Amino acid sequence: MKKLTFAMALAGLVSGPAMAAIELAPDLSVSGFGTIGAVHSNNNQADYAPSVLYPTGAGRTSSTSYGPDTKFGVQLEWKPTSRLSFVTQALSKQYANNSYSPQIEWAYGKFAVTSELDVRVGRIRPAIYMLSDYLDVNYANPWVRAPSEFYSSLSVSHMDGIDLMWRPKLGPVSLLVQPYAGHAKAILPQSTGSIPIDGILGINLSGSMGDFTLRGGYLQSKATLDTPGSTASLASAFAVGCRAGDQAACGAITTLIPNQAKLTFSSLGASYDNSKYFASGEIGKRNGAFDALTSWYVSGGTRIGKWTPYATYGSSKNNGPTQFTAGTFAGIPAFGLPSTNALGTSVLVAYGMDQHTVSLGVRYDLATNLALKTQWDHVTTVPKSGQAGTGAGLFRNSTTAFSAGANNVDLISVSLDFVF
Amino acid sequence: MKNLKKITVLGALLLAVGTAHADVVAVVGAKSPAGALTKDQVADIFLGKTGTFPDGSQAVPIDQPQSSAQREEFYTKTTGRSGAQLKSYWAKQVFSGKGAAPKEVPGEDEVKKLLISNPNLIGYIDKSRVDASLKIVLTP
Repeated sequence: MKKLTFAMALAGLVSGPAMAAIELAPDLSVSGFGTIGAVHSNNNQADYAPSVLYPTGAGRTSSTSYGPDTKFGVQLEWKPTSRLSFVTQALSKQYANNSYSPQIEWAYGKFAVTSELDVRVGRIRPAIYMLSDYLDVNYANPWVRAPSEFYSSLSVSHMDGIDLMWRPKLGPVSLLVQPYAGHAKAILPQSTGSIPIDGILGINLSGSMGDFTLRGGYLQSKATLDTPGSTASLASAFAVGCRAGDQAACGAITTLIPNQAKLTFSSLGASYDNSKYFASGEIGKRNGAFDALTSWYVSGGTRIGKWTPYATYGSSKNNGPTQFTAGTFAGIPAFGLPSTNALGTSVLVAYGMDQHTVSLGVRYDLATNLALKTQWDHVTTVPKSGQAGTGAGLFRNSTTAFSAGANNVDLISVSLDFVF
Repeated sequence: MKNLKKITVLGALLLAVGTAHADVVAVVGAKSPAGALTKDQVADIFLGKTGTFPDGSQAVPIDQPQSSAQREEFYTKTTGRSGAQLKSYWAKQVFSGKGAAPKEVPGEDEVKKLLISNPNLIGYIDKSRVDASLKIVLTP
């Protein structure tokens, strides 16, 4: 609770009635957004969190948690000329190191080359998903939080690099062609290390016509598992087998410990919003050193005055191997010592497995800058053909009993979103 | 009885005020190059989807305060979106660095003054306030 003080104190500053972007000078403005949200879980064997980068969540650590949804962001924009602008945004939320210390999400200079073409250099949020740009601005979305199975597929919120935004008009269709390049780093919870993601090259393509938007994206990169403690002990454990003549153990050192391993994510999405009704869906496929994840969601709702009821179904399925056995990996010989295979399997099952969620919720617009939301999630986790250790889905800090089999978890969330 | 009559009259007056149909119109200064616009063209300008009038000259929208009756009516008629929906829309634009909502000015008098002095501006006011110094580009 103490850690929340910062976000809440800041939130308190802006809960006055006059919430609108504040202009500090003719070309300098400050705006902000935030959420105060609580999630309650009926299961005390594992923590629910929106992504694997959260250190804790609702469930095992505490049945009610403010961690998954509470956040506060402030953005400063300076526009010295009509073609040049600088944007910086600090975001405070529960980070992997269990602190709410603000991190810089955006910090770029943007130059309008033409009225249709912008180039941005600095720290930017790569357009991996349809909602990447404002994923943390809950006020801008109907839900308590973006569908977590899909939006945790690639846990990169920002990168240091460059992107181009070209917005040509093709008759009635507004296009966006947005290539990007850079590098990022995902910090892992509990000070275990990080995953540097280098050589990011991606593209975001979208077309809008009237109420309809279609988008597609592709990203390729090189990921490294940089966990000094566990990487070293894993490597030395395999090295023991390797020295004993087990060729599978020799191969596992390079195969199971990603070092500049190719990581790609491709996605497709569509959305429709005619003000009265809205529907959207996205599907993505992540391929890494030894995981093959398919995630998707569909959601829809209607606006009735100040009320916006909605329903969502989200799913995440990891089709990568879950057992390190003969012939699982190309280039690894068929015969491994039982100890090598057990160790390899333990590495594989540590990756996020199958999970599905049905969500029902409603948003109520308290004021034009303030929305109150409540949502019920029914989360189902499915183990891999009865294999113990694969049943935890995307939950964190699970007990052995939880990850041993299938689970059904119910969550109730309440949140207050604001912008100014 | 006399009091009751007074109340009835007062009530009728209040009702008349409450339901009085305000006719909001999109306007530019008389010197503006802009001619008649369609609902979609006006919506695109106010949603920041275009920065120009159809003839290619710069178009800068200006807003009335959140509390003004014309603002709600204008946006409902041109964009079909409510105040909260527009706020969500602008939150998406602002926090992704893609744009900012139109500048807000204190009221109709200020809108008029600015439109007359700057031909690039476009605003909306009640039809009854339009005179020779302004041009109506859309009656939504």
